[in-house]
Amino acid sequence: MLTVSAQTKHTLSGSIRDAKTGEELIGAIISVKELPNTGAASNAYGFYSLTLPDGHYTLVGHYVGYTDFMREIDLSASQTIDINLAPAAVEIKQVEVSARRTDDNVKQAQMSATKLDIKELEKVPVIFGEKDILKTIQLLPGVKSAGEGNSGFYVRGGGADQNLILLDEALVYNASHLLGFFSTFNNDALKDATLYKGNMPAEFGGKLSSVLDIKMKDGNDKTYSVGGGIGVIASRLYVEGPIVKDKGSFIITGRRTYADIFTKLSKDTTINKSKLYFYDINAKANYRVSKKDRLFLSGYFGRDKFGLGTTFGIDYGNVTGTLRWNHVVNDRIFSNLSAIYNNFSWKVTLNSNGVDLIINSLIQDAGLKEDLEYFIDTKNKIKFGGQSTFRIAVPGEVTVNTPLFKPVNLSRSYGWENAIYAQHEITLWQKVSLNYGLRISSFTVTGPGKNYYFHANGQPTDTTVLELGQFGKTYVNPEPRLSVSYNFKKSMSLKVAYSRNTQNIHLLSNTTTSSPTDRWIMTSNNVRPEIADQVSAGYFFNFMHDMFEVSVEGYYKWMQNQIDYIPNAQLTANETVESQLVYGNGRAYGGEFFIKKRAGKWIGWISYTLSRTERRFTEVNNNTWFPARYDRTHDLAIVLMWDITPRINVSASWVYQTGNAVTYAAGKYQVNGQWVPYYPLRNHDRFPPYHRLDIGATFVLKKHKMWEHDLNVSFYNVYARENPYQINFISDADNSGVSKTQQIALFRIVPSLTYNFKFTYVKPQK
Amino acid sequence: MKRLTILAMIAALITTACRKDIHLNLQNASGLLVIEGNVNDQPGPYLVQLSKTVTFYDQDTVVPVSGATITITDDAGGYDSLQELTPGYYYTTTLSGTVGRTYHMHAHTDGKDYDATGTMQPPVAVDSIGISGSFFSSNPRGFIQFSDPAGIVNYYRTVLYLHQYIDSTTTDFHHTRQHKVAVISDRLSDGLTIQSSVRSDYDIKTGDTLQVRLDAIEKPVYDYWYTLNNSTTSSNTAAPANPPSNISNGALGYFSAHASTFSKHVIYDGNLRFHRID
Repeated sequence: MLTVSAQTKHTLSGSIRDAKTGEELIGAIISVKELPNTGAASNAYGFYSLTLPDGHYTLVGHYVGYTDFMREIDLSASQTIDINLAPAAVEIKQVEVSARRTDDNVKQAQMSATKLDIKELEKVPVIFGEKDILKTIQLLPGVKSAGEGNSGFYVRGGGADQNLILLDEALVYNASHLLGFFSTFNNDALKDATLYKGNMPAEFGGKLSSVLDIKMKDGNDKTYSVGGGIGVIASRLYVEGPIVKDKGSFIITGRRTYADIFTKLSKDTTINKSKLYFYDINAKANYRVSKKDRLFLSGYFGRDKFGLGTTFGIDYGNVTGTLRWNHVVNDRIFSNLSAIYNNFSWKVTLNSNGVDLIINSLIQDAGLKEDLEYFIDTKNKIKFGGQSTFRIAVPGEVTVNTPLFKPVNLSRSYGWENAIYAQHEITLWQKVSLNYGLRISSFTVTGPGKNYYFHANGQPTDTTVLELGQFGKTYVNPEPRLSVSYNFKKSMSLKVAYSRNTQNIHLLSNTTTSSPTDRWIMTSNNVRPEIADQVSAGYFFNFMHDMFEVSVEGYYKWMQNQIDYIPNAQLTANETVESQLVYGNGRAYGGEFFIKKRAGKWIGWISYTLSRTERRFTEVNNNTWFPARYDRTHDLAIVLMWDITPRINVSASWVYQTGNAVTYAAGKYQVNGQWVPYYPLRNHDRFPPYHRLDIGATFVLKKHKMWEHDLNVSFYNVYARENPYQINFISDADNSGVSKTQQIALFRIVPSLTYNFKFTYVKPQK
Repeated sequence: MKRLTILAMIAALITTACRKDIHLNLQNASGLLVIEGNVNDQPGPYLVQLSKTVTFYDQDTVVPVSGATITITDDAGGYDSLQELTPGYYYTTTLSGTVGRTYHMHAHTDGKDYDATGTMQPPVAVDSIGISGSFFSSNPRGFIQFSDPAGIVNYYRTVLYLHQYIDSTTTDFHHTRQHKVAVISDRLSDGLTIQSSVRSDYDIKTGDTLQVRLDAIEKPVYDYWYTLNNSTTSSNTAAPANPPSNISNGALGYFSAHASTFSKHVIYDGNLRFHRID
């Protein structure tokens, strides 16, 4: 046994789990009744470590939605205690149990982070009734929606490609299905999610504006259960159970949409041969090899298929896979080693007038990541590690059977990304918590491949050719991270934070939201790493026994090496695509206000963001600052969830946002007899404001040990507000010589109905 | 990618997208100078047209710019001072467009000078004109086929002349030039046979007579039309842009020197077939 500190100290360690399913609980609190302000939280794998002096203590295990665990112990030697928390039975003593919340949000040095409650999220009404984590986070301050019904999001002025979306540590490149209407995350498979709005700890890196760290469920290791749901758009099914009871478990979830069933009914051959669906599968298995070692294998596989008759087809999706090895080095050191693979690929097929054309595109990563946590004592924790990732981008390889086009084979590009980090969490004088760290990231252009150097007007001036295994240009960036909290009064704190983030993978897209044919490029000789510096400060306050949570945060973010395109940029099938890019800066600042009622019969929150997001490029708007398209001055969300009875829950959410910054025509003129709109400076106009009310209700039909099912009804856009998706500047077909502006709204009111069920096998009692 | 078409189909499956006319408070960018000039290898006179922008909600009425001084010179010593025959329409008097020559247009109006240059590219012959059904519309689309010269970068503009069939007694084959044009680059098909759709203001119907003109243009003119065709109607593209003008001093529009060839006249039989009529 390793004993670092005073001889009278001993370490308690173990796992904190759900007593019913055996799922490890992340961020559960273990505290000591006799020593106020002393405690530990379980890590991402449910492991905790608490070092205390000799003595007799009452241990309290606590987690939201669970009954407290209490146990008296005599601590005279280090020992392992696994803590099993029982989920609070909702019917019995709802108020008493769930009213107890913690003030972690106030005390921790970490700021601008939100831990999302997956169960709570299931109550928020969403479009088509498909519960969606990416749409629910858009209701939080500082997070903006990419558009109507869209799962894309922008955090504190960052672009949609600047979010690090991790599923069991694997990067998900395109987190959406069906052009963004659904996210790739099936709620049934999710256990925990945390959103960091820029001030992320040093263990995360690679994207500028946020981290959404999503963890999949491990599966029930006590008994088998089957569940699922049938909705208007998609159906879901999952199975989970033990591999060996209390030692290992698995979970498989699947989901598929069925809009194409209706197209098959059509008599029109083009329509009935059309395809339009997506599916995804999440699978995970884990096994405790020994008391100190545990292995996890998890994967995601999702695909969208879209086809118009036999003429045109597109097929795209992500694959991720993670193999992890948890190892308890000793009772104070926890290690995790992960091997990670992920890819995003798309394929377009065209078959028209005897022309067969296939375009294949792929971006894939393979890497290793090691994280070590050292729980020194109750006031000190160190985390350090590193990551190494190889990346290949295949930008679109074309095969054709016709002499009408020449196949364009764009060069593949290769890159090697490395990072090491260390961070220290420390509590000083009871009142001050500090989390500081440094991440050093590097990106190396690797062979085989051709790298162009460009001069200002976009013509290649020189090329370097790298052979396989040869290294080209390397960029190294130190990324300091710091956050401090001053807990000046009970349940009240001030926090400040600074962080620098860099990004070496960049999305090229002409469209405003994610598109299946998104093209990702890597940092190269021309494209420099994107860099963001963010400072933020906030005031955090809980009241009424932590039942209410209030936060006010301000931030200023400065972004360098941002990418835009020259006018009429040719982004597809272009070998020298980098010649189409221009580089500039971005700045974003704002205030975020949040109040949440966290417990009781009704819960809910109000979130308001006042912000500005601007970009500046030499080539655009005469090198002046202009608003980014999603610069929305006001962004308000009100969310309410009310348990009328234990069996009936109703919910509502209302959002109001300033319209997008857009470019309207300011005039028109005739060329070749045709009238053409004239556009003034970019993004100097505004769409009308966006607002919308959604309501939903869940009726629990039956809730029994073995069998439970419920019915969910929801209405998206209840008062049928026609929010503009697009505004067209066109000639009036009915009045020759007259121009008009026509607005297109995607949805009026969208009702939906979902039936959910769950069957858990319970051994009959004798 | 026809993203909007896909979106429209999805939207149609789920619900019906709702369109309505709205009135917006638009900025006023009227009174900006627009110059459109073309010189080709066909017999002259050639036209340079000067007009001004109007606000978006104004009637489609061209505001001509009169009294300008316009000259076109070439690199072989040619000089022509253009005559304003109707307000805003300035025609050459003696100039004869020749392949390979570089033309320089100079305009002087309201105390400002505007200049543009273009070199007349060699003509490329039209092989044929065809018609095909289209998945995206119930109406057929005309297309043009021609051989692209290998080893050089080429840009093309296609203009459709469409005479709409009214009834069998109509024998007037005076074609109406369609205002919508298409542009083609040989970026992906250098030296190959190029097949490309032509654009039309009206749907092609049975009995209509068609002819296509193929202009060999330069890159700035291609860029102009490419941008114009991609950003005319929608505010949903990330950044709608004005077509980049190749005329100095901020004038909108373009100046092009190009050689043209024409297809045969064909008549549409209603069955995805054309019949040659000359």
